[in-house]
Amino acid sequence: MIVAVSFWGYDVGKQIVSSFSHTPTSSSSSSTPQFSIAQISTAGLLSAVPMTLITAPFERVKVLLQIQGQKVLAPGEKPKYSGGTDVVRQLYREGGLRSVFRGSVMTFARDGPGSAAYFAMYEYVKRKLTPKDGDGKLSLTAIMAAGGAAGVAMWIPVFPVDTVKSRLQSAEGKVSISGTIREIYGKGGLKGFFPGIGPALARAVPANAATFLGVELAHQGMRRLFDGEK
Amino acid sequence: MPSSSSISLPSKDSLPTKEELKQDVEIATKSTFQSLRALVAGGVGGICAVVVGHPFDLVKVRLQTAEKGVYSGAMDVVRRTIAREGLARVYISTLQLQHSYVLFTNYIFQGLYAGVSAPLVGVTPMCKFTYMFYQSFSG
Repeated sequence: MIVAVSFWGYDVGKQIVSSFSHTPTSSSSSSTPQFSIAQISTAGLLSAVPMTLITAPFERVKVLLQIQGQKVLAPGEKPKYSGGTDVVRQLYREGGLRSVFRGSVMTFARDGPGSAAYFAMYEYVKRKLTPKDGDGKLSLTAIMAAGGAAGVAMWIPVFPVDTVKSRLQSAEGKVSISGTIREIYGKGGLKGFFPGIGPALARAVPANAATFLGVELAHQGMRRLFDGEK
Repeated sequence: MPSSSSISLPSKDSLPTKEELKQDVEIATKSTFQSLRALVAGGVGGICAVVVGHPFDLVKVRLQTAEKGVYSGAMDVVRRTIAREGLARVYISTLQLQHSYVLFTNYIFQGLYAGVSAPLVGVTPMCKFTYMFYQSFSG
């Protein structure tokens, strides 16, 4: 996941959404538009568009490198890929750009709805936890809780798509989306689409908490630096 | 030579005033700056996510791609990965990969926003730090 592009796309998405629909400004601060959760989801979905173009080939390389260490090598045998650039080189030589970009459709099918769910949940929890009295500022714990919940909300609906994507991007030779889905279902039934959901959900809480902590702290730091906020 | 009256110029009243133009530029600059700030904040968040989350992702992908019966569960992947490849090695190799992600996006956006990339400078030292961190382990 390229979080930077995602948040950037999300920001642009928010601008697009606000230019097409009426967004009432919140009562507390007249300059900040208050988006509805549906608008937030749309912005999240739009954020996946620029992201997929860059993410898909990186995901392909990542998956191949992540699984190659499992292979038991004969004495003197070298791993197939020496690094990220080498994966791209070999894929391009064997299957052209098509091979490098394999899994793009599934990457978008994962990140589109995934981002929509992610940002919607984030905003929802953030609003629920925002104190009604005082300055309405969220505590860092609340922000991290929102991030963790967002991560869980993202993974549950899109996990089967992610399994197909991982399979597709790690397979050798020519494979198709429908063929991969049939193979997974044939060997493991519906359960076959959910291996690894445990670590994915376990990751969601600390990793997304860390993400949002980083994002919010960076924003705070920049506000201090550029806007002279204390 | 055409007389000046043959070119229809907009009347003086329909042109934006100097103040209005100044305001427009200010708004546009502010909006670009906000986008850049969102990008930088996202970059920082991304680095945090990688440091914390990547080992989990490795286990997930290995479970998803293994044939049935190869691993008995998530902890089995962790145990056998550590035994075979070593903890530091696995962690560093994935970090290295993600580091290229961050650099790549920075590169793209620095290109897009050439000239106004000053706020991005803050991200780059962090990349360098990440780089040094894994170099010191993998060297």
